[in-house]
Amino acid sequence: MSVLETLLMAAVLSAVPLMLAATGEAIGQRSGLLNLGVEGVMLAGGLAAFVAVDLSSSFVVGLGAGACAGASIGLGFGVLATRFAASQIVLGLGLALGGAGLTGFLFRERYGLTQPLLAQGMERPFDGAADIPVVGLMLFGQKWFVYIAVCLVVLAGYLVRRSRAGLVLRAAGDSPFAVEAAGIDVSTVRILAAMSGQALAGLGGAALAIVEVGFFAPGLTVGIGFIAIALAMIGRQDPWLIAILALVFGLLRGAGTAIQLTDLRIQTELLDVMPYAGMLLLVVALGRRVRLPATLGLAYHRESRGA
Amino acid sequence: MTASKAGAPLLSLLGATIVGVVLVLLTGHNPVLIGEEFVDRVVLRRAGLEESFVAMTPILLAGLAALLAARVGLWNIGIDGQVAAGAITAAAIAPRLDDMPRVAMWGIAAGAGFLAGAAWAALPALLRARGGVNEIVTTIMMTYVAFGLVSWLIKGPLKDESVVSPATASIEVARRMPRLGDSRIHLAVILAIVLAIVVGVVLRWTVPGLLSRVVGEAPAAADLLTVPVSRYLLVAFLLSGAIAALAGVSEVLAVRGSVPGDWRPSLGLAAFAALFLARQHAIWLIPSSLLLGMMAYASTVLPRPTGLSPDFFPMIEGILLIFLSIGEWRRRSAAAGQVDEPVTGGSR
Repeated sequence: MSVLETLLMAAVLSAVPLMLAATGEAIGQRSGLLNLGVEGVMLAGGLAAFVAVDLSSSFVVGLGAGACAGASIGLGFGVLATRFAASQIVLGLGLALGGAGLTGFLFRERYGLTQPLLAQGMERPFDGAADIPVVGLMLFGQKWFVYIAVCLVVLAGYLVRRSRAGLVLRAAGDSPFAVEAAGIDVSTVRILAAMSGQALAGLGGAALAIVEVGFFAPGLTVGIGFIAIALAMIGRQDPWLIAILALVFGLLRGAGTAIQLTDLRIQTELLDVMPYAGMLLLVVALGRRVRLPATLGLAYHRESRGA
Repeated sequence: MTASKAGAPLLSLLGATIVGVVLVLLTGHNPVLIGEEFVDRVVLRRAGLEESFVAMTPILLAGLAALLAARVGLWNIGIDGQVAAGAITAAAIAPRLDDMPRVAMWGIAAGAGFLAGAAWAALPALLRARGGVNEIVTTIMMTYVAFGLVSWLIKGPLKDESVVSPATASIEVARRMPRLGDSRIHLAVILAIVLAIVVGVVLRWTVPGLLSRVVGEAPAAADLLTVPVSRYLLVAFLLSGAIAALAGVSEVLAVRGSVPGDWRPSLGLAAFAALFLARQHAIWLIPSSLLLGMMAYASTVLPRPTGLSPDFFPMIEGILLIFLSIGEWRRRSAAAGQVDEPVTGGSR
């Protein structure tokens, strides 16, 4: 197991929480909902998953708990943003702040100042095939949830692009009046999108806590939730494109670690900037083509015209 | 703000307090004890109230920054990056101006910090105003770039070699902004309050202030009035970054004296809590940031006597924002007469 192989494996693993959260955010954005609180949702999913694994010793239960935590927050977000026409920006910022505060508060209530670790790691199903040089470990040496996560994102991309449900979802964001005219309730579509999208964000937080690092700590996400929002926008709300961008982001981060191991004397902190600067360059290059749904962030009023 | 307009913020505060009490009861703490300790240590004791004013200052400045962008319909999610840019610039310059009078040193350091904040906001501002690129994406990324560069500067070029743990060179205590009399309140507290009043007056009683509101709330009308919309967006966003940077400058010149290596500003979310509690009104930002300053101070002094986690008060701020979000849209859509304009840029 060479250093390069391990780095590649870690880069892919670190892309998984980001990929799930950004795909979830993209589903919400497609329906017209802008959630700036992904960070809070991920933390909630991470804490729920950690406590569930701690109690049940089952990763499946933990991942389920993370997704459920995300879905319930999504239900609340969706209902407030549609039926109560709450300002999505304010609501999202509240979720980011409240989610970080609540998870920190509850974690300290339960564990005090101790930092418990999960007793067991997740199994690696295809470990036998990991002997292939360079990419073997990256492709076949991953924990099983990594393969599930990639399948989920590919499936989400297929549903958004090709299915009838995906068409309705996109129409709810781009021309809600057409959805209304087709006899479908725009608010219901948006609430369902918020629930499924934030379930993915919760699952992303769960993946970070119980799959990638094996513990939970207050503020564990250190900004991944905000990166996910940016990635969903840069990836034009397309899960397949987002998955590729998340992998590039993970590899750029991994490349920083790799360069530190070489003879080049570049400071760690400068290398840490690389993935963010890379995404920023991409935004500058794409310019106007960073496309957003026409009614993103707006409440839908049946009585009003236009939008 | 009349009594009826203050209703939504007050109801939201009440709602957040009730949720807080319920959570405190569910986790087996004594809400009466927590309430008594809060009133005693934060409100009644002179030192507590003065420390709350000190904690208010960066929140007020960051809140003004959020306000200037929101006024023209932009969301400055990158306040923390601009705060970091301002702090590191002031910390780099001030200790090198030893031979100057203190006031000149403060002025030069604050001016440089102000410009650094504007510079850090320039890329998102230009991309939004000229290219229609959504500012949320760019400000998020700029913040993490700022954090990386600042910690590189502190551990590398700006490191004070005379101390072990990485930090910038410290400004002598005698040359920092002075405290007023025997109180803990320092000069920057007063300057921030004055700035809030100035911003309030400019937005309320000048032509650019009025037009900025038209740009934010009715862009179509702004076009008809031939207001140079993209120039308004650009200037408002640059000023937003510059004022955010002053929050970092005041922390360096008046409180810390230097920037430690592990410092990560996290004022952005509190700034928005203060902004929406004040219903996007500069003068009302003063009491609303004071309340958040009290909560910030409380989360440093209450954990010891009550056993409450320091995360309790940020949680309450988040719940407060969630309550405020309901009233916020109703206000906006009433003001805009149901002409919904996208809050975000993109391919318009």
